[in-house]
Parts: sequence; C-alpha cells; structure tokens
Amino acid sequence: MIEFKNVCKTFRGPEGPVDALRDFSVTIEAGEFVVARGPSGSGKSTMLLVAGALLRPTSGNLTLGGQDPYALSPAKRGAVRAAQIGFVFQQFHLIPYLSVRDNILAPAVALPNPEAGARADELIDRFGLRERAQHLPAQLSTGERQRTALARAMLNQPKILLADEPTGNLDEDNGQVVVDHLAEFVSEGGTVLMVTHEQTGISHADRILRIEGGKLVSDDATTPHA
Amino acid sequence: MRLWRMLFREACHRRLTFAAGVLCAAVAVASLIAALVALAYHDAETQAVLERKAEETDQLLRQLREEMRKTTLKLSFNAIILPENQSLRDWHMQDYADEYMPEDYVMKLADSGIVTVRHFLPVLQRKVKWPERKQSIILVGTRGEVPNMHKSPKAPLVQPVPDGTIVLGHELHQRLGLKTGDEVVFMGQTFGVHRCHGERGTKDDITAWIPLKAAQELLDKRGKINAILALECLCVGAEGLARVRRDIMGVLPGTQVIEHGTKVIARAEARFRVGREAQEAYEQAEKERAEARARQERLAAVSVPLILAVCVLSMALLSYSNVRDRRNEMGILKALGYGTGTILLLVLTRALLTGCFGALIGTAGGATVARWLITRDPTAGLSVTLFPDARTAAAGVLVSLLLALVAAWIPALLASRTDPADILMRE
Repeated sequence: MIEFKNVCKTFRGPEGPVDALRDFSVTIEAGEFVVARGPSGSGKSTMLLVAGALLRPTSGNLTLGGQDPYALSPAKRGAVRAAQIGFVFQQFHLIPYLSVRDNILAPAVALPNPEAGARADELIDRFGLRERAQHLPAQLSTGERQRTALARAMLNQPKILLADEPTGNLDEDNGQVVVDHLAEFVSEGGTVLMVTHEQTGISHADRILRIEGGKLVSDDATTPHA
Repeated sequence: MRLWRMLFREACHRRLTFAAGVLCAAVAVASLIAALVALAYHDAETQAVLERKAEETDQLLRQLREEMRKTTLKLSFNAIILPENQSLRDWHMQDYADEYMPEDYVMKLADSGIVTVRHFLPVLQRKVKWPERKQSIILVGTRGEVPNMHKSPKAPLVQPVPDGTIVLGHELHQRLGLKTGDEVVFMGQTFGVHRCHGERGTKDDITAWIPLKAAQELLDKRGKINAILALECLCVGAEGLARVRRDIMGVLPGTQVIEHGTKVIARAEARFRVGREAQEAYEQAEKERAEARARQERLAAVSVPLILAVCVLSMALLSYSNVRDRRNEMGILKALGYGTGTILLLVLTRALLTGCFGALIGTAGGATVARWLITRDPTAGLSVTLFPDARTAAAGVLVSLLLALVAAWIPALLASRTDPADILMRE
C-alpha cells in the first residue's frame, strides 16, 4: 500500500546539507495501523510528508498502491491526495472562517462529490459534533477541533490516514478518543500511519517503527489488538 | 461546499480588509466615471450651446440674405433721379433734394419702355419739425414702387404705407413711446401707427414714412416729388450707370441720375459684418468649448491614471497582505488536494468580487461626484442624470474588474505556489 524504497531526503541547512531521511525503506500494507516513533528531529514528520505526496524525496522511491505519486503532474498528485489520503495534524489546521460543517466539507472543493453534504452530516454525528456544526473553530475545545480535523480527513473516504502527532495538543481522554477513531478507520479497511512520541495509540498499533537520525532502526510488530 | 461559500465566509471574516479593497476599487472607478460623465456632459453642453449659436447665426444670416436679396436683387444696382437743378453737393450733405419735379415723371418712366430699370419709387423727402412732439425728423412721403410696364410684375421691393398711417423709425417710436396701432397727430393730421421699425443704426431711425399724397399736402407740394429711386437697374459693370443714365435722361431730359449704391453697399457691408461677427462668435464659442474640453481632458489624463495607479497599488498590497495572512490556510488547502488552479481561482475570484462591489459603489459615487462638480458651475445649463449611460457604466465595471485582477495577480501566483510541506514542516 505504502512503500518506501531507499528513500533519502536532504535539506539545505545554514550549516550545510541535512539528511532528514537516509535510505529509508519500509512497506505498510493496507489495513495496517502503523505508529512511527522517535526523538524530535529524527525524520518522522519528513517521512509522513513524503508518504503524503507532499515532499519529493531526494532519492529513492515511494509508491502508494503501486503508483509513484511523484511521477505525476502536480495537479494529478493533488487529485491523488484529495482522493486517497487524509491528513490529521497536531495544530488541527482548520480554516478559521469556516464552520465545523464547512471545514469538514472543505476537501469537497478539491474533489466535488454530490453526496459530500450527507457524508459530512454522517461524520458530524459520528464524531459527536452535531451541537457544534455551525460553530467556528475558535469556539471549539481542542478535542472538538481535532475531531473536526479528523472528520475533514475522512470526508472523501480516503484509503490512507496520515496523522502527525494528532494527540499532541489533547488531554489523555480526548487523545484516546482520536486514537479510537483512527482505529475504527483501520477496522473499516483503512490504513493509518501515525507519527507520535507519546504512548497514546500504541495499544492499537499493528507495528511500531522506530526512527532515529533519519533511519529506520526498528520495525516491531505488536500484539494484535482486539 | 462550493468555492463561493468559502469566498463569502472569508470576506465576512476579514471584512475590514475586504471593505478596504472594495473602497480602493470604488475610488478608482469613481474617478474614471466622474471624468467620463463630466466629459460627456461637457460634450452634450457644447453641442447644445453650438446648436443654439448655429441656429441664431443661421437665423441672422437668413435675415441678412433676405435683406440683401431685396437690396441687391439679381446683382442689380439702384440709382436715384433728381431734378436737374438740384445741387449734388447739397444733396450729399443733407441726403435729400431741396428741388422738386412733377410726380408724373415716374409714370412717364414707367410707360417709356426702357428695359434697364425694373421699378421706380417716387419719394418726397424733407427734414421737418414734428410740431406736436417738438422733434426734428426726416419725413418721407412714398407711394410704393411703380413697376416698369414692360417687365413682369415682381414682389414689391418697398411696401407702400397705407393711407392714413405712418411708419416710424426706431429712435422715434422709442423716444415718443409709440407702438403699432397707436394714433398720433403729425402736423395737425391724425395717423395710425402702421409699423415700428427695429434699430438700423442709420437715418432711418429718425425717419417717419407717410403716404406720398399726405406728405405732399403737409409740405404743400401737391403733385411734386424730389426724387425717384430707380430700383433694380439691370446693367451691371462699368457701363451700367452710363447706360441707365442715358435711358432715363432720354425720357426725362430735365433730371440728373446718380448711383444710389453707396448706401446700399454700406448697408450690405454692415450686414455682412454682422453676419461675419455672428459667424466669428460661433467659431469663438466653438474654440472656447474645445479649449475647455482639452483642459478637462488634460486634467483627467493626469488625475485618473494617477488615482488608478494608487488604487491598484493599494489593492495589490491588500491582496498580498490577505494572501500572506492566509499562507497556512493555502498550504493546508493544497495538502487537502486543492490544485494550483483552484488556489488561483480562490484569490482571483475574491479580487473580482472586490472589483464588482467596487464597480457598483464607484459608478454611483463617480456619477454623484460628477453631478456635484457640474452643478457647482452656475452656467451649467443642462440637467444631469444621476446614472451614467450604459457604455460608461460598462467601462467602469470592466476597469474595476481589470484593476482587481491586475492587483491580485502576483499575490494569487504566490498563493498558488505555496508549498504545503514548507507550512507543515514549520509545526
């Protein structure tokens, strides 16, 4: 499903090139919940952006469902993102002037779908946001914001969810709710690649990747979750 | 969700910057519309002024042409037949003869068969005192022209004065407070005022015309006249007068014939001068209007582009500021799959929306400003409509949209090139 093959990513830093990913190879199968861990600056987020077709690797290959998104034009790559990938970020990145419902519907502009409205209402109910549907992000709690972001990520029924520290700004209870929703997505056949340095989510993970200095240092399968 | 909803929500969210953008577009459009409306008004007023002037000039020229037709019909000239013993020196000095000849002479001429003169006009003219009004006037007794019997009758050149009436020159009726229809006593005899002439600027202004017979009785010159005007003498050129003189003196040996052209030419020149002055006045008005328009055009040519430039720059800065504030948002939208075209559309459509609102407000504002400027001029004679014509309004809308697009183009490109990875890496 997601395959990194000898992926390297180098940035130009003020003190010379910085290798964020070095010869990184891993394969994540469809329906897996994979957690990537590692210290700050280890390359986790870079790996996530490469997987999300947002950051072209310096060398090596990435394939999503057997297709190299970086071989596509930017417009087609955008279409692939809109159709196949959902993003959840630590900072939520909701559009400040759109209501909860409109934020959830935002991906529908990139991928028009006549059933988007019904899908958004379904997600609103599923994530317990009915009372907040017409509220602006600034009027929401952090947990509600992240649930809104998660609902937005799921609007186009993607195959993959990429989550970058999705519980980083949440208390334990809200963090658990988010992870539970990610797990539910996996149980419905989706694939989750979550970057975190917390313990939250470990219990649901199929595999835990350990990344240090841009390299995959371990890839451990966990006990199958219930 | 549609793009429009996003645009509307964003405009409401950043209503101040959106309003500032609309204001800039409105000012730009208003300056253009005001200039166009003012120029259009000036053109309309120029047309009205020149049409009025042209009509006045045409009317004057038509009147002058008619007078000239009467005076110099068929390029003929007039001569005057005086008694043989009349001193020409005295005649020139006082403009009338103090010697007399029988009134029958005119009939002799008319019956003579001479072909060089078309009409004869017997007159009895003298400077007299109007005893009842204590005024010195020139009295002219006339019976109207006598057509040459060998010629086909034509429209009379000089209208006879009806019996029992008097025709008064401008100065006379003005000074004496008389008008057509009044009755007046002249030298003991009552006359009805038949006509009051307008000002001619000649001796005619102090002249009173009465029927020849009445004049003969009042001046005690029954059957006498002191001049015959030979009108429309047809022999033009250097030999003209000699030929006429020969013909007339062949019939009336006891007379002398002189050309009566000086006065005619002087009148003609005066009339031509008036006509020329009227034409010059028209041309002057035309020139002044053209100069005023050129001044307005120059002012508009400097001020409007300057205002447009300031407005487009302000709009560009506002647009750039908006895009910079929304950099994260643009990055996230691209991460969600929004293409470069969609981001461009998002920014440019917002600019077009700004331009549309600006065009509406600016068109009304510009027309109001133009109306205010025009009505400040007390000489403005035309009514000003509140709204400009469709072409001007369309030009305003077009310019507004164009300016908005130009202003937002670079910010839109910058927004469309936002790298989502760059935004997300900064978390």
